[in-house]
Amino acid sequence: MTTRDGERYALVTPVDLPEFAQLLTITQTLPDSEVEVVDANTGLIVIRLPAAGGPPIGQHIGDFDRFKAALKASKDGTLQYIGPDGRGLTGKAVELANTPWIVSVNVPTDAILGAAWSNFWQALIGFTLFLAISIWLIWRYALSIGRPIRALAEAAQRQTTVADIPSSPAEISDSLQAYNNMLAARRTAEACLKESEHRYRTIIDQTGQMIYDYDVRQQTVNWFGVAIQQITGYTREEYNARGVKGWKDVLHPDDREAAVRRFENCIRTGDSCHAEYRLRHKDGSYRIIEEQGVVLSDAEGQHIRMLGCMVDITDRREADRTLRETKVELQSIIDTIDGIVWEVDINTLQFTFVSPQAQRILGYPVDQWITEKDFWTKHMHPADSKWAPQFCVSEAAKNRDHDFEYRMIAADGREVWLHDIVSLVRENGRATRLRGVMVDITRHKLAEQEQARLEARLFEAQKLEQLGVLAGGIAHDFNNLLTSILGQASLAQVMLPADNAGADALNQIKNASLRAADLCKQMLAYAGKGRLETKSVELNVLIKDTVHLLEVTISKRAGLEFNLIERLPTVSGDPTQLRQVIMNLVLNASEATADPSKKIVISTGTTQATAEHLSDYQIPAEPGDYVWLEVTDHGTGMNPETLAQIFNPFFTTKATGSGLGLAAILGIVRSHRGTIRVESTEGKGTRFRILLPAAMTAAVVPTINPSPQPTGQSAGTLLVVDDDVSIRQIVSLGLSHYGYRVDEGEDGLAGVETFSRQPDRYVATLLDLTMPRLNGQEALQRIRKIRPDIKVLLMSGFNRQPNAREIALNEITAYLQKPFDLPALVDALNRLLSTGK
Amino acid sequence: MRPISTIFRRLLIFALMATLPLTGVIGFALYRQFQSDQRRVLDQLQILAETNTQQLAAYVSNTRHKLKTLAAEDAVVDVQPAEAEAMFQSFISFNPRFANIGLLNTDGRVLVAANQKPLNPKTSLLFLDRYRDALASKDLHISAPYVRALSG
Repeated sequence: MTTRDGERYALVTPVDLPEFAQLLTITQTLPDSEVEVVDANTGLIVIRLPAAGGPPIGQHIGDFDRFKAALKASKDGTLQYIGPDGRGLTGKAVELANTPWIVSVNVPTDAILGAAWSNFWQALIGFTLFLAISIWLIWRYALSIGRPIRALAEAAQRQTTVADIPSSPAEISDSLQAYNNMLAARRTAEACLKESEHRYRTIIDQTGQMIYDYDVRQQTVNWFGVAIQQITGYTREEYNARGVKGWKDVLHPDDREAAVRRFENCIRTGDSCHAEYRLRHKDGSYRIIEEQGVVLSDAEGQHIRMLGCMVDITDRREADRTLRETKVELQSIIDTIDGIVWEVDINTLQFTFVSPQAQRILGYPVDQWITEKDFWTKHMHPADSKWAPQFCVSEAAKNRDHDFEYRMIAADGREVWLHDIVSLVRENGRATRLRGVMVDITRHKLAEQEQARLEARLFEAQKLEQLGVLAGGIAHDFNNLLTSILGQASLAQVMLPADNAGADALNQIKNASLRAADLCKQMLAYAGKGRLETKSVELNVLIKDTVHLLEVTISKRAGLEFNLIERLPTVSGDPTQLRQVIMNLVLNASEATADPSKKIVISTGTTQATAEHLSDYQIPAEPGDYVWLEVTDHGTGMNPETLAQIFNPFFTTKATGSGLGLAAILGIVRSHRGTIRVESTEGKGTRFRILLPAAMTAAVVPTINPSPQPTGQSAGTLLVVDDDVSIRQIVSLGLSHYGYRVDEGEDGLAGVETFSRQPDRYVATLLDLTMPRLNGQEALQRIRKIRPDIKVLLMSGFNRQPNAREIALNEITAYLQKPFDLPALVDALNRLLSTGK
Repeated sequence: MRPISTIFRRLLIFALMATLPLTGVIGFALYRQFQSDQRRVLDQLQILAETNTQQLAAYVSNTRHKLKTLAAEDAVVDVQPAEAEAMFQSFISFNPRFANIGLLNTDGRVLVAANQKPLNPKTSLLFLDRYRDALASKDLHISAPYVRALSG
C-alpha cells in the first residue's frame, strides 16, 4: 500500500492455520484419504488434513519433483506420487488461481488397489471352487451314467435283459427300462414280422401273382408261390420237379426262343427282366403270362439269385381287346351320329372334346374348337350369343340337364341352327363337365319357316275366299240395286229435257252409283272373283293407251318416262282389269311424287323367273317366262310398317282413299297367275314390279265404244226375264225408249213359257242367271231347244257367277255384268244383234 | 460300441468346454469391476479436490478484499499508530482466523501491530524472504508456511 505521503508500506498478517484448516473438507467415504495444500514453488505443505499429532505445516511434500512431473503429465489432474512417509499416493490436484497453492486430495494407492484386488481374489477363489465342484459333480454323473451303459452294452451283446443296476439319474433308469421294453418289443415285432410275412405271402398268393426265387448257380427254384397252380395248373411240387426245363417245355413254340433268350440275358447281364409270353396250362390252353424279375448279386458281384413275379394277364389282355373294340365301336357311333358330340369344362365352357362331325357341319377344324378360347360364344349367332350361354350356365348351376336351340355361324358364313342336348357330367357328386350333342336342325328350321309362310299364305287365301264369298253375296243384291238406280236415272235423263233443272241431280245419282259399282268391282277383284275375260294383251300398247287417258291428271304432279322394250311378248289377261292395275299404280305414283320435275318411270321387260327369284314376291308363282311391268317413282316412299300393310284391304294413307286400290291389284295379279313385288325407301321413292305369265298369241287391244244413242226406230221385240221386277221395268222402259218392244218374264219358267208361245217373235232374249224355279242356265237350255239361233244376253249381279263361266259365250250368247246403265245395256245388245248378220 | 473310457473323456472335455467360457466371462467381469472401483475412487477425489479448492479460493478472495479495504482506511493511510492499532484489533476481533496484523515500512520495520508488543524500531524484518516478497508485491502476496512465526 502507499500512504498519502507517497511512502510504501505493507500490511502483513499471519493466518491461524488450525483455523484455516476448517476451510477444508474431507470425506468419510474415502478411508485414508488426505487433503493437502501445497506451495507450488517450494513443495512445502501449507496444510494437510487429517494429520496425526497436529497439522504438518511447512513439511515438505516429499518427492516434490515427481509430484510436479506427475502434475505436469496429468491431463485430468490425477496424480500418483510418493508421499513424505514414502507411501505411494494416488490423488487429484487442482491449482488455486492467483495463488502459489495446489490443492491435492489423495489416498494411498494401496487403499484403492487393495480393495479392488481383494474383491477380485475373493471372486476368483469362489469361482475356482465352483468350477472344481462342478467338475467333480460331472465326473460323478458320468460314472453314474457309464456304469449302466456298460451294463447295457454287455446286455445288448448277450441280448439279455439288464439286471437291476443302481443308477441314480432317472433318464438312465428310464433308458434301461426302455432297453428292456425295446427288447420285449423286438421279440414282439419278430413275431409280428413272421405273421406279417405269412399274411403277405397269403395276400400275394391270393392276388394270383406267382413269386419265385431262382438260384442262378444251382439253376433250381428255391421257392414258388402257391399261385403256380393257378397259373400253370401244376402243383408247386409238380412244377418244381420239372425244373427250368419244364418251364421251357410249356412255353408256346412261337414265344419260346425269345423268352428263353431274354431270361438268359438278364441272368448274364444282371439287368432286370421283363417278358410276356404264352404258357401252356395243364389243361392244354395257353395263358398269357407277364414276368418281371430282378437279379441279385453277392458281395463279389456274382449273380446268385433272381427274384421274380409271374402274372396271368390273359383276362387283362382280353379286357384290353374288348375295351379297344368298344372304343372303336363308340367312335364309330360318334362318327355316325348326325350331330356334334362334345364335352366342355363347366367353368370355362372351353371344349375338351369334339367329334369329327363338327368340321363337316360347321366347317371349323376340330383343333380350333378345342384350342380357340371362347370358341362357342365367338362363333355363335350375334342374336343368340348372350342368352344361349347364359341359359346353359344357369341350367347347369341348377344341376339340370337341358336342351335348347340356337344358331351358329359356319366357317363359310352360313347360319346353322343347332339343337343342343346337354347333360351334366358329375364327379364325386359335383358337376364338373358338360357333355352333349349338337344336332343340325337347319333344314327342319327352314321347313318350319316355309311351313309358317305357307300357313300365312293359306290364311291369306282363306281370308280372300271368305272376303270373296262376302263380296260375291253382297254384289248380287248390291248390283241389282245399282242397276235399278242407274237404269232409273238413265231413263229419267232420257225422258227429261236436257235443260231440265233435275238433270244435274240425275247425273250425280249416276256418278255415285257408278262409284259404288266400281268399289264393288274392286272388292271382287281383290277377292279374285272378278269376271275375267281373258285375251291376249300387248302390255306396251295397253300401258300407253291407259296412261294417255291419265296424262292430264298426272302431268300436274310428275313427269312420265317410258322405258318399254320392243317386241314384248303378249300376256294372257283381262285388258280391263290390267288397265285398272296400270291406272292404280300410275295414279298412286303421281300422288306420292307431287313434284313435276320428278319422273314416274314405266318400264316393261321379260324375265325367266326361277323359284329363288320368285321368293321375293308377294304371291307364290310358278317359275317360267314372265313379262314384267315396273312403275317407279321418286316420291315420298314408305316406311317398313306402311309397306307391310299396303296390300291389306281398306288400308290407306290417303284421306279420301278406299283402301282397295292395291288390294284389287293384288287380286287381279293373282287371278292372272302373276305376282308382284314392291320396294320402297322412305324419302327416296317406290318401285312396283308385276310379273305376268308371257303368252305368244296375237294381242287384242280393247276399244272403248261410244255410248249408243236412241234411234227412234223399231228395232224388234225382246224378251226380258228377271225375277227382280224393278230390273224388268227399268230394262223394259229403257229399251222401249231405244225402239225395242219388250215382253217380260217374272222368272225362268215363266220366261220359257212366254218364249215358247211365240219363239220367232223375239230378236233376242235377256236372261238373268239367278232366278227362282228355273235359273238362267236352265232357261237358256230350254229356249235354245225351242230355237237354237236365238240370241241371248245373260245378266248377273255375281261377277263370277259359276253358271256364267260354264256357259260358252259366242256370237249368239253374250254376258252383261250388273249393274249397268242404259247405254251399256243398249251397247251390249247392239253388239249382240250385230253379230252374225 | 465306443469304449466307456472314451465316453468319460468326452464328458470331461465337454465339462471343460462348457466351463471355460464361463470362466472367461467371470474373469472379464471381475476386471471390469476392478476398473470401476478405481474410477469411482478417483471421481470422489476429484470432487473433493474441487470442493476444497473452491473453499480456499473464496477465502483468498475474501482476504484480499478485506486487506484492501483496511489499507484504504485513513488511519492506515496517514499511519496513525494508535488509531491504526485500534483498527487492526477491531479487524482481528471480527476475523479471528487472522492471528495478527501489522504495518511494515519498506525498510522492514514494523510501524503498527495488533496484539503484539512492538519490535525494536530498528529491527528490520527484511532478512526474511516472505517480508521482502510481500513488500515487493503490489497486491496480495501469500508466503510459504512458517511455523510459529509470523506469516503474511
